[in-house]
Amino acid sequence: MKTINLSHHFGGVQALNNVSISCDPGKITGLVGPNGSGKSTLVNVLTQVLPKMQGEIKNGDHFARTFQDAKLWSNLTVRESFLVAQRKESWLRAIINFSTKKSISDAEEVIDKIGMSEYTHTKVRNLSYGQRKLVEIGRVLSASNVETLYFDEPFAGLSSTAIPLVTKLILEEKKKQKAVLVIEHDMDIIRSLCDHVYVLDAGKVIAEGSPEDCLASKEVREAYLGL
Amino acid sequence: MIVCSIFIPLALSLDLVVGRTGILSIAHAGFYGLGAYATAILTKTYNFSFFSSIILGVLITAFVSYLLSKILSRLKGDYYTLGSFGVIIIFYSLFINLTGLTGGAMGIFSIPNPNFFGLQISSNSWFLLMSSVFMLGTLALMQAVISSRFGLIIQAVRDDELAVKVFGYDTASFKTVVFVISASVAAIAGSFYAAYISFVSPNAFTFNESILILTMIIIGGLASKRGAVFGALFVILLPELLRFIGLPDSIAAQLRVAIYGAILMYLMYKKPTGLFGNYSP
Repeated sequence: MKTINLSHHFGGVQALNNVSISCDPGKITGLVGPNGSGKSTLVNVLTQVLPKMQGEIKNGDHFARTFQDAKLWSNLTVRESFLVAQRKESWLRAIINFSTKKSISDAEEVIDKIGMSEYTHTKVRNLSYGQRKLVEIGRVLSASNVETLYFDEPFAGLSSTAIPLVTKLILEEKKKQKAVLVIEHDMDIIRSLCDHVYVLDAGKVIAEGSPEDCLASKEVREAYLGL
Repeated sequence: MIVCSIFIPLALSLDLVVGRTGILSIAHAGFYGLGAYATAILTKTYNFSFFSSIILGVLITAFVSYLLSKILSRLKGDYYTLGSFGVIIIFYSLFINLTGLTGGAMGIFSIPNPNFFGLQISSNSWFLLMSSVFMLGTLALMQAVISSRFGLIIQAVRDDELAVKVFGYDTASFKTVVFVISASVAAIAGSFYAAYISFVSPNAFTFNESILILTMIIIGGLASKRGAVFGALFVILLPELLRFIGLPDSIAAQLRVAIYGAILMYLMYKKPTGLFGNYSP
């Protein structure tokens, strides 16, 4: 996935200003920046939640994502949520298809991976905040035929035991040659997880490079850390 | 029992839209009326058989509901409901003003009895058998739709449409199909109603009738087949129950409405999911 000079505005506020980034297969790309810098807006435009106003997006059609505030199907069970996320279908195919043994076992495999086997048949609305975050991440991992995965603050609200689990799961997706983009505020996680980082400030990319180089740059420290 | 076997499919089909897909439509009685008028006009004026009038009524209703769904799908939440209110007003207006076709306020009388391969269905027991087949068919249809992947996807749309869209689904087409299926079942119910009562008039298909069907699924519980069946039985049989305990018809009719209202208020306070519901908006 690649963007060329992507711009977006809300009324008079320029949320994205000529943003050009790329997210390569088999790489984890970090997107960091202060609150309101345009990180979520960028992912929203990339995933067609917001319309593209200006610029170009290349190879960006096959994706799955999480949201900063988990958006879940709260009256479905965990397994049902993963079955919906597995593959997109037209209404006609969906109405004549039932979930097969294979799709159910695939869903249960992901449920097992995120450590929620005992909640397979639990409605999502009855889960805790951390569990709901895990379900949203698992839903992305369930999606087939996707090339790019977007995780918007996937670690926020997770317990200390869940953070290494999610890190491991994201690294597994990298091994499967998926292009992964992660929005995150925790710099330790960014350092340990990402191959490449973009720093956004006021809708512009102000730095890019390896996590170490990027986070050490004076401009980034001023914009992001106020140092 | 015949009326119950007509209203149970009406409640089940509205629940597909409201309970399963989360679209609060109050246009349902309009499609019910469309089916009823189709059968009344086609069998009486054009000598169609009952079953061919059902098929044509469903085709007309499917087409009309498809177009309306395309228009209404541009509206969200409360605006959708208000839009569907507009639809029921338009239906009523057409039923009452197209006098040459619908008989206007006087309606259409003496609708012929259904004819099944030469057999005139004039007795209540035959009619009950036929309407029960329709009711069971609707139950089976709803079970099939809900158990399919389509059923899961529409329930996901109800809970968070945007989260479904980002997985690549064309959610608008799913909602349109739900609307068309629901309207088509309502139209068949209308055909049975017209043939059973042998009279149709605009007053049977007003906004009040939509609210009555909505009351059934709210009392029984949204997103529940059992709830829709129970709700329809309760709402239809309550007047009989009141008559059974000795209340005169004039009082029972008024008391019935007050009881519905009181039950709705109680449920909203104590059990907003309804008696058997799996979902509350």
